[in-house]
Amino acid sequence: MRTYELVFIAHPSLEEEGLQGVVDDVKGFVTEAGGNVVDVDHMGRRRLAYAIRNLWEGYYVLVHADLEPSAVAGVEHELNLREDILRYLLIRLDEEE
Amino acid sequence: MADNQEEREGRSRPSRRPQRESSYTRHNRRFCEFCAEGIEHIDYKDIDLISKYVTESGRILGRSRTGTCAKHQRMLTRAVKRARHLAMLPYTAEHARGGGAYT
Repeated sequence: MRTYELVFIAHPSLEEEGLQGVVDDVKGFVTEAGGNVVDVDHMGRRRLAYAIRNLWEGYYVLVHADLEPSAVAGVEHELNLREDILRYLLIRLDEEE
Repeated sequence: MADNQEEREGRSRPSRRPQRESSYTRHNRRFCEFCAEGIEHIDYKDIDLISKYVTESGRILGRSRTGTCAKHQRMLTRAVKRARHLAMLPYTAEHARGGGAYT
């Protein structure tokens, strides 16, 4: 198990309730892949530095999760399928801290 | 860095490339700010810090301009690229305005 850091940008039209649903789904991806969620931090609604799909805002959510390295591809696959996630970054944390 | 410079000037033998360094470059090349602060890891989410090392058009400032050491420049570059991916920093100024072929 390694610790990974995931930041994703959720669609701005979701509002708070919809966002919570997305966050729960993402947590589900992690747990279904045999990992566990260590921490979730809502960084809030922020303006994007450039437009993604003609949108200028998004909800940033930071997730720390322990995952088996082989399970990462599966989680990324699920994230790629989500239309309400504009962008994500999934990186390994342990080598850097 | 600073030590080397003093040493070089202390000797009467002319060093290799003193004339090529403009006063502008020399003025800006002092010491690695990250080393001075004792920073071990540059967080790509720390936009206030990172944006000091990026030009208005979005380009990463070179080591010669900022005095950053090689180790920290590598960390910085990686952090900038991650921040760009997450739309925390623009790739280019034009991109940020919503123009060009990237929209």
